[in-house]
Amino acid sequence: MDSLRIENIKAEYGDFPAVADASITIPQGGMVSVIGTNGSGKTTLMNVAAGLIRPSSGKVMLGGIDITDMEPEKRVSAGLSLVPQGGHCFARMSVEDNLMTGSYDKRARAKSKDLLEKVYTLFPSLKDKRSQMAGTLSGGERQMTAISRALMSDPSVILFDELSLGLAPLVVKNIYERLKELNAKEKVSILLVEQDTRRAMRMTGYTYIMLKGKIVLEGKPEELSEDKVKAAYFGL
Amino acid sequence: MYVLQVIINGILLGGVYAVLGLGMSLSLGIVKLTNLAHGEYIILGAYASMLLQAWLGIDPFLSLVISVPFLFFAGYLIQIFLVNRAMMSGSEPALLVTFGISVILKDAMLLVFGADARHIATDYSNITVDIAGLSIPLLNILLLLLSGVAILLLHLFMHKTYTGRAIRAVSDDREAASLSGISVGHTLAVACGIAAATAAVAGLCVGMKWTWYPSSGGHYLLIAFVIVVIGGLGNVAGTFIAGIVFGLMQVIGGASYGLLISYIFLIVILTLHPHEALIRFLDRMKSTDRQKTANGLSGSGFVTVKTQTEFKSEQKESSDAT
Repeated sequence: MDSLRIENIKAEYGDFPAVADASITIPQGGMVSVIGTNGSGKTTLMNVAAGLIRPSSGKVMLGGIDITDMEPEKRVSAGLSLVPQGGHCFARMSVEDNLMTGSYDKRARAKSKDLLEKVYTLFPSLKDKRSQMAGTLSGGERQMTAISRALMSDPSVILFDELSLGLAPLVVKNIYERLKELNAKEKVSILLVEQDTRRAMRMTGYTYIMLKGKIVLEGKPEELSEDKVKAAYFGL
Repeated sequence: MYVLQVIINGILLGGVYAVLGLGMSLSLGIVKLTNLAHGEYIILGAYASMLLQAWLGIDPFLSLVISVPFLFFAGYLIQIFLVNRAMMSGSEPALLVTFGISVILKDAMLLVFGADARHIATDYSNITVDIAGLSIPLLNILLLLLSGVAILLLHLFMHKTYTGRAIRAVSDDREAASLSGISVGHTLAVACGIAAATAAVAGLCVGMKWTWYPSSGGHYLLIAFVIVVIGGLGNVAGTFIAGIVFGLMQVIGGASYGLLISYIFLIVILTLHPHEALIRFLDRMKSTDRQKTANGLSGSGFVTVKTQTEFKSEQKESSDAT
């Protein structure tokens, strides 16, 4: 069964159409990417999936259950987690309090100790800074905190919205390696939203290219030639 | 000796003022709601303790076992059914709703209890204790202890429980909180319930210390505002210190000048920011050890509201790091 299916989503901000028609499927334990230029509707689509924005039409299915009308916090307990653009750590809370907040949901609360252990193994640098205020962390550490907070809810699917934004290449490389590890070991399904086409295609097994609110091209990395991707990406 | 007596009286009285400011600090700092009905909550708490003492014949301090949960649920329900809805359309509609609740509560209390002055008296109300030549009212000591316990419990709750962390998270970033599985509306209502529950404690203090009328809420609301401004929004330790500063000013100024001095002090705080100068000074002292500064920012409040100086020094730090 597919882990997450986004079907024919349409979403507007007032009169402005942000997503015109987009369908995306993440297979169980799979890793897919969505790429596109600024303003192509990627973030809106992620916010629709996480429940922050209600679509005007279309469906969001999580493991076969229709969650289109579910509140964002209920989706978290159903196993869907979004790491929003920029991470959005709780700046005035310590790193560990940030992480524990991720396990607020009752299902995750029961295993919060194990989850914390797991997260600290994944990002050992956070363990050293666990009592530090998240607002005083570097950009990369803040992103790690945000990812870890999402992991603390014990999700089956995680959506990452441009997690490389504003980070040093080396930091990004490290974070992506951790995500690969997570996907391979824990069988967490992952969706990456990226502007870096090459990295996204290298990292994932299936790529969607979005332009002006529509999916204009999709396929496995080996099926997509560079010319085709370029043409779709820029709308040539 | 006289000076020492005055200072000790002020400090003891400060506990009462700190509790008065505590709930307001929660509403303003965490829920970002100017709750104009908070004064009425306090008076409602005083009536609750008075009635419980009269009906059940229990000690007023024991009445908190019932009045605290009662005001918690009242605050929770008012928030979830009335104020949360108004807050969706902005802070002004919410302000007006709390003003309406304030008027309704005040008139309801007038209708039920009449306009008479009330006071909660006990056998030990007038006992004074002699310590090292100073005569200290026993009641003041008990009230300071009560306020200390209330503040400590609240601090632990905010830092050690899932709900406390959720309240801080919602205060910090509502969207990120809901993405962490937290229901924002419910959490805001819990925070307002706790603010109302502190009003039950404040009401008991007011009732045992002074006399009150159904219309006394406005007076205590104003005091709560002053204490929140002096102590910093949402800052538990700051609220406690502000309460003590306020208590000292009341005792030094006496009945005639106490409030005048406090409001002049408030104007000084608002215009000259002496506390920011103090923070800047402390920052300079601490900047030798960066790690310490970072840890120090955790503060002792449940939410440390950043002053401009703190923010600037943080920014400087992060630019140093890159």
